[in-house]
Amino acid sequence: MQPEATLHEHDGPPRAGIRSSRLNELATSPAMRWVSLAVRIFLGVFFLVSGAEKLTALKVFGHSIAMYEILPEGISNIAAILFVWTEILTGALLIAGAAIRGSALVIASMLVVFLIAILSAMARGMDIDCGCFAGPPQPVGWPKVFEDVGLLIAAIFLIYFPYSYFTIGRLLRREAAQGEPV
Amino acid sequence: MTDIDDNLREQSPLRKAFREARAVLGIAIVMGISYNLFAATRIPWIREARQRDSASMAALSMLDTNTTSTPADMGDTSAGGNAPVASTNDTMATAAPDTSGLAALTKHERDSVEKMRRDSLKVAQLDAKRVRDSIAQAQSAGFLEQVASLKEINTDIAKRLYDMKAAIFIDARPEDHYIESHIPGAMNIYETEWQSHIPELVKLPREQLVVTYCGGGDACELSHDLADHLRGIGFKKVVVYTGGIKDWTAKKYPVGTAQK
Repeated sequence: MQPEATLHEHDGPPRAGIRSSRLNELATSPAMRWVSLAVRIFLGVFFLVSGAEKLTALKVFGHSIAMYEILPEGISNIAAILFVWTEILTGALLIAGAAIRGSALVIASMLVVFLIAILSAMARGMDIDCGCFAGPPQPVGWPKVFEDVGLLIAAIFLIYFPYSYFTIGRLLRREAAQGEPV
Repeated sequence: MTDIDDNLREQSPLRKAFREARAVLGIAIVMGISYNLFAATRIPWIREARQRDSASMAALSMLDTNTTSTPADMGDTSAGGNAPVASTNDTMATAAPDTSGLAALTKHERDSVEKMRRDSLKVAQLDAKRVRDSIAQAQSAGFLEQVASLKEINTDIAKRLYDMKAAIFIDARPEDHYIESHIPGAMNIYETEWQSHIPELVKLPREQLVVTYCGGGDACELSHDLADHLRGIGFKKVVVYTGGIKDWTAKKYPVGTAQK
């Protein structure tokens, strides 16, 4: 039998500890749950689609990474494989509503890496494809920086406000206890 | 007390996030490795940096200095040093008869001399054109032969081949990139999907000069890989335009767009 707090992760505040804190009250309010749901689905779909697209053009993504001249060229393909699968997995987990905090933290870390890479390329005056999507080339520049900062804020939000509706945990629990609202 | 402290630490959002993140990363690594071991579209684990063919590059430099003129301006090759030939004006001056003593002649005689002069000029112009054409043809053939012996070409040579319509350009990038911009007239064969284009490729003569290109830059492997595939199925004259679309657009040469 799992402890209550673990069983109900992402569905509500923990039964003990900082339950009464204002942050948790805010995080578990119905309005914030809806906001969290919207951010979660947006970020999840964004990364799932981005990763799935790049999976069809892995070699091109490896080339894009090599063009930044940050990593040794030899390992840019390995980086491409890991980035793509991390994007797909975190995107899928966010949509499913599982391991929300962990997925959001991984996404935030990737976005910090992307931001450093883009800013470094800009500082070196490089005019390269950012490699953000598999579609038409998009040059590195301030629009990409702002886009990544926006996504980073969304990811950090999910670390602190992970409670939302329509998570896989809630759905499974409803199966167990019929009648409980999802 | 210890239990309560542990519980409090356990509930810390960041602590919980780190614990989950480790698991997420571990699963992602396993999925990535599994995919790249078994999927049909797997890529090499280690990306090999392409070594420049120094012999090709030396030959390339020679071509740059000796054959930078286009067929259109090959008539005036006396400055180029390849095959000196008199320019049209020089030829005409030599062929035209001397008319300095025309004043002493009758009108009829002057008309006859004038007609002869015009006829001579026409013949001289035709001769000069024939000479120019044959030189241009010989130089083009030599140029193409030299290009075909290379593995890589630069933007100047690519542009000249484009102007001469002497080669088939193949864009090795994905379709989305091709749609955005490509060398006009270029085919699009994304390197990883090249086998699906074999029906189109088998219709092309194997002696045809083919130029592959991609995004440009040292890290761009697609054009080299596609060139290897084409050589593998029998194309004898395949060269890689290493500058790619990046250098092409930087020189403001014409680019085409397409629709899906």
